[in-house]
Amino acid sequence: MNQRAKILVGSSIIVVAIAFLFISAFASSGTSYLMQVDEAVYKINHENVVDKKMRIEGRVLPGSVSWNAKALELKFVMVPIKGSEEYKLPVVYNDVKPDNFEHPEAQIVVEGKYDGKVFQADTLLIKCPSKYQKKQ
Amino acid sequence: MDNLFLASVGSFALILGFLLSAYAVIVGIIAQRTNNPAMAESVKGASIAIALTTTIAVVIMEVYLISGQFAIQYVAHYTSSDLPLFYRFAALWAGNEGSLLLWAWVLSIYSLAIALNNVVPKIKPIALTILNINNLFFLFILSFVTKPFVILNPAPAEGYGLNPLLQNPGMVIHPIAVYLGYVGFAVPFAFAMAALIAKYPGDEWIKVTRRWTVFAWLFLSLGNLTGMEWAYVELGWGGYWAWDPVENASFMPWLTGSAFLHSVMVQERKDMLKVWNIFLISITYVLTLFGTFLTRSGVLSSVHAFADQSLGRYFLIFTTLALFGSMYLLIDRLSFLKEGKEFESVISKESSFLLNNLLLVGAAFTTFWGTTFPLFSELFTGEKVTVGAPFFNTVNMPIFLAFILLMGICPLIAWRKASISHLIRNFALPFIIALIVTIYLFIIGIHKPWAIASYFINTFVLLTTLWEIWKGVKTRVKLTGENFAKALINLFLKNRRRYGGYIIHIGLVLIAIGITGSSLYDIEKNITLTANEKVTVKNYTLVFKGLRELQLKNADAVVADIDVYYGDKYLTHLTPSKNFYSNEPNPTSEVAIKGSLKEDLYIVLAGWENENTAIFKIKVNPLIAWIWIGGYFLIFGTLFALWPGKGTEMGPRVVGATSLAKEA
Repeated sequence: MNQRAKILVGSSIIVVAIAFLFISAFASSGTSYLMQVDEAVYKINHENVVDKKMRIEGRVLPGSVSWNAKALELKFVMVPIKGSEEYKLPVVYNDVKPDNFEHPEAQIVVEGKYDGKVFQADTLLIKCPSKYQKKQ
Repeated sequence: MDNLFLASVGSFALILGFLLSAYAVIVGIIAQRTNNPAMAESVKGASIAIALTTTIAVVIMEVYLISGQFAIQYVAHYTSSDLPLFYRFAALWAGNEGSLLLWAWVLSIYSLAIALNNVVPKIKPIALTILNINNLFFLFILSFVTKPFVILNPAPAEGYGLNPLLQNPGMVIHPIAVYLGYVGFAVPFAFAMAALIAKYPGDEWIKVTRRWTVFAWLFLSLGNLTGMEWAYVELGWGGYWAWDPVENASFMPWLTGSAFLHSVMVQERKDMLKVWNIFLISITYVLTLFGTFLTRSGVLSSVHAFADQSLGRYFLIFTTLALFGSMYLLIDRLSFLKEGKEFESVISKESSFLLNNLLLVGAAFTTFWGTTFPLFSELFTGEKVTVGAPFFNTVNMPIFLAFILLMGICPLIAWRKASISHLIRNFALPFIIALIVTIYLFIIGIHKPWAIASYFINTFVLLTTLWEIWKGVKTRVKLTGENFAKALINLFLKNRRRYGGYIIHIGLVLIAIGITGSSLYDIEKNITLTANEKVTVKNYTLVFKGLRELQLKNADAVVADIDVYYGDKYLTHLTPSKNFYSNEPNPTSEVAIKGSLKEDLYIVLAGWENENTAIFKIKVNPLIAWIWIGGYFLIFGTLFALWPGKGTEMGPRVVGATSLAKEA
């Protein structure tokens, strides 16, 4: 086999190895469906999503926040950003309450699983104040 | 409203710049086709004029920013009367309109430099036309889509002020560094396309644009590093990289740009990989446009929220045009790009550079797919599937480790063909020492497989690089009789490109070590404490003394007093705080860090119930300081390699007698 062919074979092996890594990482790790609260509530009521990893975007229903600092437990209800507040998702988050959590315009993203009663959030993100567009 | 007259001047200047760019593009194309030197001169004049218009617009904006003219919407949005002068000046790139203006200005200056410089005369005019197409696009956006000089009537009495998260020196450097990086790649891209269009056989365009490429790469590196440092110090989640779309946007062109930097060396010496290089620079350039699109269009949900749908659409169109245009050209001219030499051996510097490229492009491809997957999945399945950090880490970490290993091996492999025995002789000692170090680390408790692999490889690469330098100095001493120190300095100065490269490699190794320690062995504890309560994390005992209020220049702060003990010894007093700015609804967390070479103790005041009860997020990040130290090495090494003058020619093929004989 001449040198060129050897290079080609070697390169192909590398490419295949990376592709294999890529595909197996995809299958095993963190892909999760991003959805709005109304879709999430619909899925919970109509499908079995218990223990399925979900990523849900919404806002906090004012007045629904309960924060136990000593136990680091944050309980609240999520509603859709745009849409009816009748879609309510109860969430529990066992970590530090983020800055500006109760800001009326805060949009939050939770990631975690529904356990049958509440959504157990592993991560809770608040959309940062925009750097390029100033919020009025 | 006399001083608002300048705003009209500014807007007019931008529209004029737009028209001039259109003129320059049209005339440039005609001049090329009809071989008309008078028209070509006219394009040169247009380039000067375009640079003038953008300069005028930038100067006017700065005048407004520094003088605090709140009738200008941009000034009102991003400054306030109590904002320090330095940040007023930097507010030019704090927002969308201003940063686009900055981009257009830098691009026009770069274009002017090309216009005035008589390099590669056969293809330079075409390259200039391509740059002017870019100018045209950005000036179009600034004239008609995102206008910087919008006036507010009535003028507000006070501005909103600069987001306090941005009032941080690192954050001032970060955007401008990224833009200088992005725009810098436009020049080699333009020349590459010009060479294709004109079917120009020579390689001078690579030599000519090499400085631009390294320059752009330098700033992109600086941009990424300052972005990481800012995230760590200002955002308060304890980390520096989250594989967020905006982060990935500036990382992907860095990866492909690094690949390009290396593979052009192969083309320069061996006349190989021509097609690959054109592909690489095109992808790099397209990724810079794509990165801007991702950041400004709001199309991907990210912790950073920017939203301007129409702007996004224009960027997407322009990016797509650039991609398809360059790929079409490449494929069309494929037969013309005949390779020079063949690969002579599987184990050679050429092949190791190719491997380097495959790894970097593999990582870039992975990052690209992970970042854009939500878009494509929604397109095809209707559901937005997001990919988290674990995916990126699983695929990219092995790639990066392999890449670092290669970084250590490659300098020792000869061009054309290397003998296995020669390699073994060179690697044996570093390999053994690295093994000993790794075994020691295992004994003292480092058991995680990735950590073991990483520390071994990084130690090995550090040693091989130092060994390579040592060999060079020794040979020089033998041949010139200089003492060690003098030989070392002269060796470096006379071979800046090569030894600058080694410094950069050492910097990357240090960064890798820092990343390994801080991501695999970091410790986090979140806890609520009442006054005089204490908590122990690793060997640190933190005693919370209480909260107090503090009045800062433009903010009210709530400060937590914490006494820190290491073991039994008193170490320091830390004051993590939350700052409430008058113009901002959201407070910022001022993180308290006690850093050492070994690790960082990182404390965030996360919240409080009353003045005696506070919630803390505590992190210990091992080895994280080495990321910043490695960053300094990287920047210094690049500047060293870039510095003009003798010693920056292609390094000698073999370090040793032949090269020194050439010098003497």
